Amino acid sequence: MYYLIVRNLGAPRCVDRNEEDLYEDGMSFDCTPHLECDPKEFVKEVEIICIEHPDDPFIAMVFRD
Amino acid sequence: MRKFSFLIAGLLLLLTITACTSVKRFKSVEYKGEDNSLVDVELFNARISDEPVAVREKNLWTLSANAQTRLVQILDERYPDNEQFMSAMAGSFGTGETPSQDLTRKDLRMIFTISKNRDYSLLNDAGGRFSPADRIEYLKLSLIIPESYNRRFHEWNRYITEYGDIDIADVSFSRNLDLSVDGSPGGVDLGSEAALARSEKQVVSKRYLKLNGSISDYRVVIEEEGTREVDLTGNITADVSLLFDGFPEIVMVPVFTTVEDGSMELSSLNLVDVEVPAMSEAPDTLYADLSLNYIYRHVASGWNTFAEWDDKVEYYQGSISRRIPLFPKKDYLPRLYCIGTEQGGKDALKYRKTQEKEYLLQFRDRHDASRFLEWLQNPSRQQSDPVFIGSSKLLYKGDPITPLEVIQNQMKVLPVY
Repeated sequence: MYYLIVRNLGAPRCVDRNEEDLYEDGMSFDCTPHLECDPKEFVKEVEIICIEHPDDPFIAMVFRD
Repeated sequence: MRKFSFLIAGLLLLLTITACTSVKRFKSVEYKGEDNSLVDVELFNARISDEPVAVREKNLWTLSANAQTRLVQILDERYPDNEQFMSAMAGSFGTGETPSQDLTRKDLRMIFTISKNRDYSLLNDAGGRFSPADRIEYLKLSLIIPESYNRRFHEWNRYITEYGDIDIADVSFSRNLDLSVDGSPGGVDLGSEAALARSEKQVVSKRYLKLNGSISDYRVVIEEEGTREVDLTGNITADVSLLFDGFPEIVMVPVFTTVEDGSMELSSLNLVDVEVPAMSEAPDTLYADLSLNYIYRHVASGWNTFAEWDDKVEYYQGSISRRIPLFPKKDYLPRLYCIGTEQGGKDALKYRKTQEKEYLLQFRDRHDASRFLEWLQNPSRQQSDPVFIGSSKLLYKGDPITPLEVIQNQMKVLPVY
């Protein structure tokens, strides 16, 4: 399982999870969920768009279990 | 010969009179160069006001007079029973939707202290640069915040100096602080025998201070110029608004009703959008770069009189720059609260709306969180059944939680950040 983690004010949160690594720069996500995730291995960094702030890209990290 | 002496004496007298006048700024003036040790500046205090609470409970007392009358009539028709009528009057109501809240704007009060280096041991030293009549004539204060903090200055709110204060609500301002003076400060009366009297009556609008200020995204600039006898030493208070870039959060607003036995029942849990500051990390202190440029008016001689016309003035310019702490972490982090435990790292309750919509169960204030925890721990609840709110579940470490587990895990209200 792959997890998309966003970090704000020092606190990480898992906003999306998927069985495949679909995550790429420029993809849009709802950044409000706190999903239950089990991130173990860092995969990559991507620049995502939170749908609540379409003009401000955020750096997110992709992990896998 | 005697007439000639009188003429010379008369001319000298006239010269003296015209020389000793309050409309002169100084006797002589000279620019002496740069000296950065004459003035100092400190940010004495920087304080952030509490976050504005935009959400207000709606009840009978928050309505206008006409709406109150109409509501009482409706409730009277709907609830003929006196007890039910009183209960309906005391309740809260509304659409069930709570407006979104913005926690990214902070009102900041900064107090700058401008001080002179008062070295009295150099008072009569020819090379000394201090006299009691010295004053700071001009200053330009800049405060710059690093772009990496994702925050920017938004607007001025208020500006206060030793000489007056100005309410501002804009990105720039330019004002004069004036005082009308009616008097004869340079009056000279030579007596009736001399048959020559001169009274320098002045009706002037005496300007104490010229003020300028501007705000751009990352910089605040304050400029002050004192006119005669006005020393800019002292405190300057500047109230400004700061805006952080926003990051989306969802907070829970519980709505409780009181049931017949007097206990609280959760009637709904509203999900409200809020904006919190967007910063990947939360540094312990946010810093800013403070700089001061000044013009120092040193009175080399003539400082034994209050008037300035007889001063031999030497001007110095100087500058100071330093990085200063602006405010600590606790002042800029949003005050949101969750329910959880701190044993082996913080674990908080979550609210599962659907399989892919799990949110942290966080509240906009401690009061809401405490009331929700109290409701969870109510002994009249089924202690071993998972907690449902409508069709949504409460989760702890990914699993549904029961009221018994809430008590067993000694859950308490915790700050989210």
